[in-house]
Amino acid sequence: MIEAVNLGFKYLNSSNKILSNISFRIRENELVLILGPSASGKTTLAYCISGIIPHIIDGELEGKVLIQGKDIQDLEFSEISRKVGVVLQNPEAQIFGMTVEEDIAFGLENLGFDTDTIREKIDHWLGMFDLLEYKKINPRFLSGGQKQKLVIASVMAMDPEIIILDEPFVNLDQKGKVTLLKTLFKSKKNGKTIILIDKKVPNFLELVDRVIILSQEGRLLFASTPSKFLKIMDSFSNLGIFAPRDRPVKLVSVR
Amino acid sequence: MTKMYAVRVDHVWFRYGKEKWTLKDVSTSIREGRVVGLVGPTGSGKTTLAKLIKGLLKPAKGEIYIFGKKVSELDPRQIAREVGYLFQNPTHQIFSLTVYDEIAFGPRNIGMDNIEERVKNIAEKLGLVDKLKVSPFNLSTGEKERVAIASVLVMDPRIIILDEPTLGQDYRNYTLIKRIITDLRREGKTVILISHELDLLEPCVTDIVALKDGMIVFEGKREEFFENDTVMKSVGFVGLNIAELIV
Amino acid sequence: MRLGQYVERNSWLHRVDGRSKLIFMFSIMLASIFVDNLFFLVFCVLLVIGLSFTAKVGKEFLYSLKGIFFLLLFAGVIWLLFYRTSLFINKTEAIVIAKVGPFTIDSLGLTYAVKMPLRILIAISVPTLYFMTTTIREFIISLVKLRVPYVMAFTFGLAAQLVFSLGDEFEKIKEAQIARGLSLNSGGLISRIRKHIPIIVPFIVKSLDLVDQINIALNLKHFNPEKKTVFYQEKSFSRIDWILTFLGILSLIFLLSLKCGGVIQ
Repeated sequence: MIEAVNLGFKYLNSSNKILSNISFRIRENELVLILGPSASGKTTLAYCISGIIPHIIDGELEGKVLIQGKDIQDLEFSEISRKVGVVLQNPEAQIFGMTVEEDIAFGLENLGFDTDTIREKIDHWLGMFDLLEYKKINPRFLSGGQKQKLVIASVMAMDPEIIILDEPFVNLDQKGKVTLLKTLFKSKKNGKTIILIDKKVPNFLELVDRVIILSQEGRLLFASTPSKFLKIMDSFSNLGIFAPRDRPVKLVSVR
Repeated sequence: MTKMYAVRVDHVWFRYGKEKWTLKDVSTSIREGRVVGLVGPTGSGKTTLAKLIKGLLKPAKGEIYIFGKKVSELDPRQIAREVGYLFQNPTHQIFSLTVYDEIAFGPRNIGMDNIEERVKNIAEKLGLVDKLKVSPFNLSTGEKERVAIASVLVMDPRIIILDEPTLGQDYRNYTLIKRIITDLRREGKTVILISHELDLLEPCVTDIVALKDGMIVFEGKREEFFENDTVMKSVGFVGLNIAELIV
Repeated sequence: MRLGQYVERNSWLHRVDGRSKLIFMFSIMLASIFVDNLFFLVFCVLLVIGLSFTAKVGKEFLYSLKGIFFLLLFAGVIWLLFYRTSLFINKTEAIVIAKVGPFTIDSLGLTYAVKMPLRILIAISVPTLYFMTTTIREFIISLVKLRVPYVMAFTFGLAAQLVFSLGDEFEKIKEAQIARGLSLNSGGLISRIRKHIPIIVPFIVKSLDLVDQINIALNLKHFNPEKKTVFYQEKSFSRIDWILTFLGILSLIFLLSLKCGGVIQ
């Protein structure tokens, strides 16, 4: 569904390529994990597969990205963004409503939905993320974690087929993480393709369909299944991504 | 022989604005040389308590003592000589023309001697020697973080507060922070570590102070905390049950 | 209570459409500038206060205006003492009341000392009442429907929100620098300004970065100012809105014609 072919990118005011020679394929309805240390180009990769590069951000792009067989450069950004939703790292930059419900309504208004549909979607998604009681509250009074949930809810309300989330767990407490993960798995069940970007190997690794790993120089190190990753994981321990074997085992229980 | 506490929090009350109390009658003492994990759910008041100790906030009631001196009677320079604070996302504080200047900022403010030597030493420790003349804005995220850490450690305070130093960071940073805490401990410094990441707390801390809803719900040595599932759960350390996730 | 902060109540004034309120408000403000009659100005002030009570925000309204009391007092004194330096006012018929040092206080000055603060009060209290009974979003929608370009109205709303997150950011940076020993309260003026560089530089860097991200986020939300048609939960004009609108416009016209006809000042 999403295919990267020899993808490379260099920002305009930069002397080095941030991504080099990246090729992988993501199939429909997969839950994909993109891992890498700081500055490995993960966010840039997210920009490339969502059309933000090249349509909004300029730079030297190599190779190509195909969404459902079509080259991203040949598509209009508005077409791409209908299919691909992106939750960026900084919640403060993605909130546009004077109240929580207005923020969810914002994207939906722009897409042309009618008031009744908007109202339904607002109630549904605020409910999913335990934000209903904050419906009429100004988002600036929300905590960091709540703002994060609001942003995710507002992207999911626009109902894209593919959802990219860039380090979504940072501001969330344990309960929030669990809620988010449950919602993501539910969405996957409903046919969505989910792409998660992070700096650490998570403790739900086994539930993921595909793992893509970037090195600090922005090269592709691995693009395959979690079980294959677990076998060769030790060789990645000096990479800067968190290796689960250091994790206290009693914290994770799988019944 | 009574040893003076590095930090003594004496019946402190604090609130932002005029409504809910963020901290209610909080009292605790921290001995010099300990690594204290300050834990608790979001909103429990950990960062608030840390900022009070650093003198960035003033308690509504109660008093905080650093090595016997009242924090409320010290000015920012005096406090900075004794207490260092590494903020979350510390790269936001970077402003100087060169990495050297950025690291030297603190020492210059508090009037330290031998600044050049101190800066070079800390730069060596953190692998920044070849970057001293470079603009900090041209560094990678990881390098910027090390600059920020250096700029706090260079001031050589006896007490160091680390506010969620590994939150949202990668493994390399985590290893670095662990190493730094170990070094600080060896140097006899007192460390206050705010974190909710067990992977960092377990290997590093000697004691735990747990807050919930603005009150201390646990104070004790590491073993007492890590072996007590009930207390750990009550302050938010809950295991992730993967089976729960598959609907 | 911040001046002009929205107070949620279920009153007739809250329910009324933002547009009619806007027109009515503008009418009062314009009238207060052109009409020079003391009784009219006092009437306007009492009207606004009265409206605030019918809108169930009376207490908050008066409380928030408390802050400008000294401003008004100051303005009154300035007018009293200095109005004679104005080239636009005809002072010949004024009756001198007293001479205080280099200042002459006369009857005309006294009237200005009362009327100008009243005008300032009206100019501040009317928008205050408006924003207390109208959410910013409604304000934006009203502007758009009154044919103000959507981009301008939206930008205003976005700026209103950003002020807070940027303010927080500023405070965070300030704290971080104070934590490294920066002492802002010492030294002369120039040195104090220089001391703020460690706060202002990172703040600007962060703000520019935020602007970039907002740009991306707006694109992701399909933001297209030209095509904006649907607004969630629109209010439509009802009878009371028409009454308010016409009352505002007709009163304004009436008063202006009285003024031009020389019936009132």
